Amino acid sequence: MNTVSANTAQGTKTPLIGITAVTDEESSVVEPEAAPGGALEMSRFFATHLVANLVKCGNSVESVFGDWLKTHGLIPLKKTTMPDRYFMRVWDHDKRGVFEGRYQINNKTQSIRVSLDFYDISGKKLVIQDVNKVLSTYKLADLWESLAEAIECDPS
Amino acid sequence: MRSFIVLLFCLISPITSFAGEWRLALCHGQEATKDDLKYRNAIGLSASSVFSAIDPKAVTTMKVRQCVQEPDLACYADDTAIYCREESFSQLIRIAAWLAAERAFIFVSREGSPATLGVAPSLTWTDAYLLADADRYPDAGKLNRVANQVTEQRGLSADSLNAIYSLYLDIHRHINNNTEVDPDNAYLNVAIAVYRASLEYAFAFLLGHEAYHFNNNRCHIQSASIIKSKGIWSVIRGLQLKGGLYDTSNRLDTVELKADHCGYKWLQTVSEKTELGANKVLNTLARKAAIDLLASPLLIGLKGRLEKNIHSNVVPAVKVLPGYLYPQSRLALVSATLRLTEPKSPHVVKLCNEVSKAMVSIIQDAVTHYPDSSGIVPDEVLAELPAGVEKSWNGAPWSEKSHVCEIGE
Repeated sequence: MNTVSANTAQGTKTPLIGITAVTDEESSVVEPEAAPGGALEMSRFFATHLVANLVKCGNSVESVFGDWLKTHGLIPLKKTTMPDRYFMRVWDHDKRGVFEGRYQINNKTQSIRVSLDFYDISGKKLVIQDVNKVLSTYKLADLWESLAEAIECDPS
Repeated sequence: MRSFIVLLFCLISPITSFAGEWRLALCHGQEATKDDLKYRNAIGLSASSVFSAIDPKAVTTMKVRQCVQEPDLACYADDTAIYCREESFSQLIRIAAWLAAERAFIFVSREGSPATLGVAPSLTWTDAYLLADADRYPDAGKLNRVANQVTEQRGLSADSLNAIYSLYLDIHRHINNNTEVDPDNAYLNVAIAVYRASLEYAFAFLLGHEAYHFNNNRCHIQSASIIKSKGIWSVIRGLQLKGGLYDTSNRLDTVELKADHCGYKWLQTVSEKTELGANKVLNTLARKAAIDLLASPLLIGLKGRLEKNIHSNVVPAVKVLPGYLYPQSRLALVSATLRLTEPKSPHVVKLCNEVSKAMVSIIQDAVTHYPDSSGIVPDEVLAELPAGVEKSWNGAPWSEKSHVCEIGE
């Protein structure tokens, strides 16, 4: 059985949120989880956003993740904060799996990405009904909106 | 006669993405009226004509089914097909026919002279939208009510509107039944020419956007667009980024941006290839009608609504799509593409009359509600509006004349 360890998160990944920011519309960097396109796909939480400037917004993103954890009474198992990246891992309420939140500036590709993934302890990828349950239980629409705003924070 | 293949949806083959075959799947909801389902031939003809203009070797396959999943918007696409709501496309067909019928009377009554282009149409884009919407119901009462409203507001006589309606019905009769038009029927010939061309411009943009998604997020046209090479694209795109005119909270999704850009390339290609005979005025008139036609799907959506504002004027309840350019920007880029591909009278191929009023109202509203707005309307936007708008924004009193596109501008 493919089990997950909370410390190493070796289960099957279900991406929940992915926002990539680029300054060049023609950039080859795109949000890896984005669907081929079309209006219906916009309701999913994966997007590549065009921004005027790439700004280091690690503090803003960490603050958003921090508020989200607090709202849902979640305590991180692991947290790493660096100038160009942030990482946190946390059990879900039922201890059926772990969430991993990330923020990463990539100077080489001129992009910034923030993401939230879920690793199920049973080793199975979440089916769409369970994804929907996670979306509503953990208010991921609100989290998405806050992260999308935080990724292009105003340094002033 | 142009043709296309109509198949039942279950016949879909396992091939995905574009492989020499454009796949258009029409679906309708349970609430679709009988009228919503009678323009299948018209939709197929316009779509296949656009697809052929983009790639003459490609095949067009159209499939029809009930919606399994009902898109609120007109269309969406993935690598299996372009999926469009039949009700929405039927509405577009009806709007095109209303606009074309009225423009045909203007054109024929002035014997196709250039003066035609200086006439402000009596039937506006919102009138055409409301009449087209009313005409989808079997109860004639709704159409009569809207017709009365239009005649009162526009100073159009009931006889004139009846004549336009009669021509509108003739357009559908000929298109839906693939019948030849009597060459001596000047009104119908002009109306069908304007109807076909304006609809193909509209389809080019809408299907070009979706074809990008269908083609695994690649544009079938590689060459640079005229709006990009002239620098208009980047300026209008920048209006929605920090430091711009509009609220940045609707963040631009690069996939949708590139899909739109592909739509403008398709529109440019179709516009460059369209020639409606020797009369240049007719070509110009069709491009103008296309701008009025596209105002509906872009500003309010084809399932949208119109509201009355405090001055009792009908203004659009603007439909903002997350990730997309704002509706006013999308329509300005349609105007730029058609204007820059208009060889004879580019000064009148822009956002004129009632469309200009709607644009001004939308831009002002957007700026008023965004405290961080730069407040600067760039030349690239002003170029798509009548010269009177800039004068009025600079202090001249607003009047009907502010929104008129003069031939000699």
